[in-house]
Amino acid sequence: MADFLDEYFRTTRTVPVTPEDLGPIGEDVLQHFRLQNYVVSGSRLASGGWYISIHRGDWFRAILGLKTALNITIDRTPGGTLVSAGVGIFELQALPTIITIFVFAPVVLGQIWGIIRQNELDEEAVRFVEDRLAYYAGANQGSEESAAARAMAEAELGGGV
Amino acid sequence: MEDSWFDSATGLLRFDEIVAQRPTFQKIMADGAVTPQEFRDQADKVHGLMRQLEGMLAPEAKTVATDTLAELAVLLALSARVSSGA
Repeated sequence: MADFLDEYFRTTRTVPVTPEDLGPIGEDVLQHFRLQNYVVSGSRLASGGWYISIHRGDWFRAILGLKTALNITIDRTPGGTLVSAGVGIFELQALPTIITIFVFAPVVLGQIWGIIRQNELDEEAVRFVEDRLAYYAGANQGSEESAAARAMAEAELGGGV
Repeated sequence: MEDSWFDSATGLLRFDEIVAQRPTFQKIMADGAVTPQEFRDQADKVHGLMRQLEGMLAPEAKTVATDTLAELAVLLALSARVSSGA
């Protein structure tokens, strides 16, 4: 069941790159924000993707006792990799019912989303993932090129004997 | 305890803290169940408070209070609509 966070307080992009292993990308994202003194938490999805939560400072305040965070999802999708960054509850992939039924939740979470957007934290997260996807895709292409070059060299050696 | 509706440091709305301290809210959260009587009692409580509030407000403040309560009801309806997928 969708909630208002899925619809309205999230930046989403599909990157036309499909790496075989999303593991290193998630690890890099965790380290990127860890180095900026964010509290970070990451878990792998069944599909091999990632669900990452980060928070830091006073403006990621608690709502009804639950710590808010920027939640980053990296997952496979037809045609590439889906990257999304949105406000949510730390380490929770779905809003607890107590939040969804709380009339002021959209107001508070909307304010926090506004601060996230103002600081371009969502864009930073999405752009970093895009960079990592391009990096690892390039690294794999480099390996393929090296393998092709090696195969050609071996074929020449075999023809010359 | 801070009385303002807004956090003095961040400017963020802190009504969730105010609500969380309400005995009515704590009771519902304690047992997780809402009886028909609890529901009716809460509706009556809101009705009574709105009557009291209306009687206390100067015209200008009443206009703002009316706008606030009405728009809050709209926000609640929007949230419910999104959650229901409608």
